[in-house]
Amino acid sequence: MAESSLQITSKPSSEGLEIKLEGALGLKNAEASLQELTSLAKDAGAIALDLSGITYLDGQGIAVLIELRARCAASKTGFSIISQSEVAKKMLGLVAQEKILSPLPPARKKESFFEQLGGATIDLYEDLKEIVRFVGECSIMIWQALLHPSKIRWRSVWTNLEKTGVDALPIVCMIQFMIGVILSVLGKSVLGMYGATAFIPDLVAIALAQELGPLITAVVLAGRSGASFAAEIGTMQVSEEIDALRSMGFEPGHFLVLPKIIAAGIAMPCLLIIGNVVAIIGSIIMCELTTDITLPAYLKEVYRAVNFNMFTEGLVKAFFFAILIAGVSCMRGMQVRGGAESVGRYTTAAVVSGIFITILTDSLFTILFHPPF
Amino acid sequence: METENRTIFEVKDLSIGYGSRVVMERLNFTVRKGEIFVICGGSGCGKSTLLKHLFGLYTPISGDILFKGKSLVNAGEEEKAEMLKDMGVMFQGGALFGSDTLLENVMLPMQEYTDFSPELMERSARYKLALFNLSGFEHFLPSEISGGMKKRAALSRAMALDPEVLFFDEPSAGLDPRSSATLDDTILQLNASLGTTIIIVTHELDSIFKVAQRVLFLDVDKKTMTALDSPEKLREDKSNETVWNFFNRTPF
Repeated sequence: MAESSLQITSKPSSEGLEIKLEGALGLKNAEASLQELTSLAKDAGAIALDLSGITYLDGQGIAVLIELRARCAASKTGFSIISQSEVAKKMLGLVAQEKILSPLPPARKKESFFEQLGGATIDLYEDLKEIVRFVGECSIMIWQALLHPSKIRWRSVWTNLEKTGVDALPIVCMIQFMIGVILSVLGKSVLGMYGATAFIPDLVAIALAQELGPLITAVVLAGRSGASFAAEIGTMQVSEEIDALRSMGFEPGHFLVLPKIIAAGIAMPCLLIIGNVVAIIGSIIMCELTTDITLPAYLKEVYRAVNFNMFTEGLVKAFFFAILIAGVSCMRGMQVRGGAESVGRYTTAAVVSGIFITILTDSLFTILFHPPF
Repeated sequence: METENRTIFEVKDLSIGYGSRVVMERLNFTVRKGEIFVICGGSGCGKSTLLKHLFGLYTPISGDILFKGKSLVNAGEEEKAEMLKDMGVMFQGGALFGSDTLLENVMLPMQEYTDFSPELMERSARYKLALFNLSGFEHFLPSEISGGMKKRAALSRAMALDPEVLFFDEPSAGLDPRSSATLDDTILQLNASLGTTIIIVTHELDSIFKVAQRVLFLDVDKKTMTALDSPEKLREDKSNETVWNFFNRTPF
């Protein structure tokens, strides 16, 4: 704005101080003017503002006057406006100052430690209940889908399969390759101490088939597809698309969640098998370079070490991990309420819950497949 | 010199669009300081796109936009930020930041661009909210208030720095008739008391006749502007058929 500066002149009057403001009071000089006026008002018993010389006054200028009035009220200094120009009158008439004069009530009350702890405990309990409920719901949904496979939206399954499976292949392969390399290096240094380098293939193959393969693929799935499922469904929730589905009589679970779960359930074992092969290739390359294990010896050892049960155990685990991760991520998406911030929060929650539930199921499976008692 | 002072925006031979797809071309007009300028036209003609070009969100395909005589299109980062301080925008859906309260939303531009003390900032933000009848809702989150209130809060935020130019993208969309009439009054009041230049994108005829001083009409078929005049004149002028049909609500 073409603001000229503000002239502040004061002269003592019978009650206190008469302050005359001339010129423009606005954004550019608001803070400085407020400071000057405050210091003038500090020692006066009362101030009377003469605004007849005001040529420009904007919202910030009004804010200055109101803040000054509030400060005067706090220090029991009298405050009055004795004269105002047309501009000032127009602007001051826009809003009743009383609305802004009273101190703002404090924002929300801050909760004490115990309140927070209690709240968090209840949230956790509700959350677990929700997960159990959702897992149950998904199981029924899957069961019904198995009974009537024609009702599944296969086209959506297909696109999701591409997104969770094919598109994840490069990253899964890269990670698994490096895991293969790392395991071989580790194997060489530990097994080498006992002169058992020849067992590196056993270590790598068994660890990958039974434990590491499913686990690592699950983590990638949770981070990639889990996050994307939650964000996708969450955004749909925010933009009322889920409500629109319901209004058309579609069950969002069947329409959105089921195809994702099926796609993840199919994609994950495939990713596991391919990933494990790539990991073995990584390990073979490492062994070729650093040990005297030859390729035929390596393969023979793998063949001897891994039996059918181990292989199936890995696949079964992978399948269940995938279903749970997809299900929980979709559930988090459904929980979104409000706006963008909520989508972010639940996407994070989706990844965390996905990984947590993977580890939890893994330990249950380990006990199941290898009963310790 | 006189005309230069009175012109706030000058659009020269502007072509706008997405990628290589031209939405509007050969746009030439000026916006005068202190006027209420309405951009209208049928759905999908590029009204909002043009508006977003005016406050520098999009880069045009060709042509130039001068803001107070300086090119907005060719301005550097800092120069542009300086220009943007003089502009306030109210987006169609409000675009309030969901994780901040209304007060924080309005205070944000002040925190970035002014030297205000926290007390003054708070007072000023509360004043801006009170202007639009939002006193008492300072600590509410955008998700906790109604659509009309969101619009008003968005307007408060657009007003945060008392800009010289205010842009409104479909202000009355989704508002009930009384709220929308109130908004029209507010627009007139802002214009009258602060001299704020107001540029509005809308196709609400009632609103156009109430507030607009000049109306720019964009023709979706001809891909350019076909009229620029006061709404009353456009309604009477039968020489331009599309415009006449629009202002007289003739069905297709």
